[in-house]
Amino acid sequence: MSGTSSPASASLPNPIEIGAGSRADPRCDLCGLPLPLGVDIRVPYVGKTLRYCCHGCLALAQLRPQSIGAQDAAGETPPAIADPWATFDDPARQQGWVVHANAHRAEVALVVAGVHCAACVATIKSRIRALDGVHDIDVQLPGDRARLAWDPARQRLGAILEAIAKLGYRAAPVDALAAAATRKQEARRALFRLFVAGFAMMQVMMYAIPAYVTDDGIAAEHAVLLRWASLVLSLPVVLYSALPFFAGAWRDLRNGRPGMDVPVALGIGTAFAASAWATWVGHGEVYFDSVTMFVFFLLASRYFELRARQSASGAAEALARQQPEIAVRLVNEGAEHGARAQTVPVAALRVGDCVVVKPGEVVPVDGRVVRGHATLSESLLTGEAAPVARSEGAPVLAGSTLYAAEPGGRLLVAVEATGEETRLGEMVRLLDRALLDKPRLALIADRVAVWFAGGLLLLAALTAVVWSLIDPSRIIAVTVAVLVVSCPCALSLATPSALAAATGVLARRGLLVLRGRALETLARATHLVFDKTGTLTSGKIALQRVVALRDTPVQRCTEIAAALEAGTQHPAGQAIRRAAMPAVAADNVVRTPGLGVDGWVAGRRYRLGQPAFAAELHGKPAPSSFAEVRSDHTLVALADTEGWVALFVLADSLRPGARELVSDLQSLGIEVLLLSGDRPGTAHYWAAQLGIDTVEGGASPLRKREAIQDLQRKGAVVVMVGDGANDTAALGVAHASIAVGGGARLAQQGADMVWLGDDLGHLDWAIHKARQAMRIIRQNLWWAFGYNMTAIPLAVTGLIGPWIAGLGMSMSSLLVVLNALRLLRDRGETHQASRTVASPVPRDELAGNNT
Amino acid sequence: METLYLLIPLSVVLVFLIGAVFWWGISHGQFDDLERPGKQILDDDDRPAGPR
Repeated sequence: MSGTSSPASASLPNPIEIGAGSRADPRCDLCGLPLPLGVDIRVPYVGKTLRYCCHGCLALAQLRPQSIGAQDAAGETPPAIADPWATFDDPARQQGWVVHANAHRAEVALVVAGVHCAACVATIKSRIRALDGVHDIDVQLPGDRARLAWDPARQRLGAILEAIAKLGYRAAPVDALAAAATRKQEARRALFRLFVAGFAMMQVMMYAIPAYVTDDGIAAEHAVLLRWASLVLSLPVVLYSALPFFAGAWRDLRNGRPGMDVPVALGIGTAFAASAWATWVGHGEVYFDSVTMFVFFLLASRYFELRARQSASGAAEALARQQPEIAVRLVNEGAEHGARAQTVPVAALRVGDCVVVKPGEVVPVDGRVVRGHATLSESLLTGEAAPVARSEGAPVLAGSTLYAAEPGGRLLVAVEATGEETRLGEMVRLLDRALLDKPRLALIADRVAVWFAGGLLLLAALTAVVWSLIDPSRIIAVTVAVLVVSCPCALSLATPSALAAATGVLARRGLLVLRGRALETLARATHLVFDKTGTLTSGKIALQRVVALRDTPVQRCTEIAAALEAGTQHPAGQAIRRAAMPAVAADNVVRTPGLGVDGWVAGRRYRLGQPAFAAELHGKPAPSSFAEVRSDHTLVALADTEGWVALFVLADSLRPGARELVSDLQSLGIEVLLLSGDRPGTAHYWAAQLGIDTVEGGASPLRKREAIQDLQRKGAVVVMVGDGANDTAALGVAHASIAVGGGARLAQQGADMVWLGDDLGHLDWAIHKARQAMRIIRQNLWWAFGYNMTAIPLAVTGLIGPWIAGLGMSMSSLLVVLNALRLLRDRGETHQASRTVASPVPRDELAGNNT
Repeated sequence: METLYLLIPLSVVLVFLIGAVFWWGISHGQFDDLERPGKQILDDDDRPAGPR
């Protein structure tokens, strides 16, 4: 690594050149695979230039002392490997992207290039699942992501990837950097294809107009000239711009599963070949204008789809994109003057490294602040716009943006996790998985799309035969029209785009949809059930008062309680722990979710929790002081085998936006319920504060579960909002569940959605968004149905020519894609502002209550 | 009308020329990001001016 010895603040020569040019058939110098198009990673090494296919290889190469890791040491070039796929079986290479669940199950996330339609997905799924030792493969249509689960004892990863390659798709383990480079190249190429088609179309139209506008036709020699000019300009359109359609069609045919590319390619090919022949022989119809226009509009809708997919539609993509590709690593950070800065790919960072982040940059890793303090925006991770302050030793998350840092305007971060290990990486992984779990509507669309293309080809063949009997001179025009007129885009393209767009917009506001199906349920929800603790309230409850019920001093009571609550995640327990230093330790601690803890401190058995639970230890009635506690306060009792010891009074505050949320939901026609494990008085107090009519206090987890099942029997669609920790049973039976306050364990919560932010007010916006998404998907499906039912019969009967057919198909696909992209519009800003103004009201009232 | 024999081939050549210019723009990243560069002028940049 050719790091320079300049201080970190100076700009650094980048040892890695990432350029655009590439030579013919170069291979990776580490693994021997052909370099993917558009990926160009070079490192100068002893007088020559080594090239790598991905940054994983580069990182690995740098770790090997005999390769470029030590540049001045004359080492050998790594030997070429006979079977390129075998490198994927190398455990060292697999480390970092392969997750081993157990000895017989490993999972890997893949990028599969070349997946365009539902038929591609079906092909990969059916062929790969048939392989021995493959548990499952899930392919996601927009985003090209796939998740593969296989048995490493029975099948090699390399062999599976090779099998995918033989089907005509390029699969590689997800590597953020290589994926980003590929994406960029893909976007550039798509834009140029679109430009060529668009510009040629305009010019060809210009040549076609004279023939359309004159009554008696133009002079024959001029017509010939215009035809030849059109032919010359159509050539690049057909040979370059339309290449993806031909490539897709060829792949579909080889796999014996016709996708939508086959009729499209057939239509373009036939129309162009017929026109070129007519130009050559000097008589007959030409369709150059129709061909170029068709290609242009089709590419335009694909380009929009690609742009949307890359900019915001795939929430996972948007998040992944936020991760920087390059970081500045500090070597010898201990010595102020001996410190050297190196620019390295993030993939090459290791735990314990120290990275430098400057204001305006995005933190590349999860880690801790080494020195000074900083202001960061975590809006990407939580949806909250307000910046947060982090001082020395505090954690910072990958994906947050640095606003300011002191001293010296630089933030030093000690690396704790990189890549997929970071919280951002975990979010990306969960979202990836979510998109594979499709709503019912999308599944239907998938199934129809697979059969659509095949049926259409049959119909086109049939049409050609019938027209050869009616009017042989019109065979080509009518058949081409049939081939190009149908539009399954609402099925294969717009439905997944709409889903991805909706998940993306929700994720940007802090609601992670972890199961795609949940979006549909959220849209249909009739009942929303809240669990009080940590959902409607901020969860930041504090110890207000300690009442000693015996001669034990207050200080001692708090210490005992704190010892019992050591290590708890429950907000009440945390509040008690914060109030005392841990002076003693508790043994044999048994936690009963929703009730309390049981344990031994200093040789005596105690119970801490709900008074009824604590009373079981001694069986004495509750003292009168219990009844005096205000109903808005939470009561935690401490008891031993002889009687009551102390009473802890805790107070909570409403979450910002909770009150508006309840009234908004009620105006949406959604019934809001509160099922709380707290005392009935507390539950009723908060319900009255929020305007919730149906309340049940003192509900055990089992009772909550029953209540939800009761509602479901009456036909309600129940969405449960809980804090995830002690509501697992209830979250599980609800139609959809939202865990509030993500905490550290996103994946373990088992909820369908995770709310990362603090402001509950966005939740009704999320329901609006979910409803809008389902509405748009339905609109698109109906449009597709109506359009195809009208247009195909018209084309078969020869009533519309190829150019109208092409125009209709292109416009229809543009329409559905643009309709889906409406979801990306986020008009909630004013909404959010009103929340911010409104939120202090409940807090003020609460402050009044506490005094 | 003889001028058509000059003008139409000329228009074809022009299309290819413009295509080449656009290709240069795309391959030099001119169209990679259409949003951020416009806002870059508003960013704080405390680094001293001069060669980087």
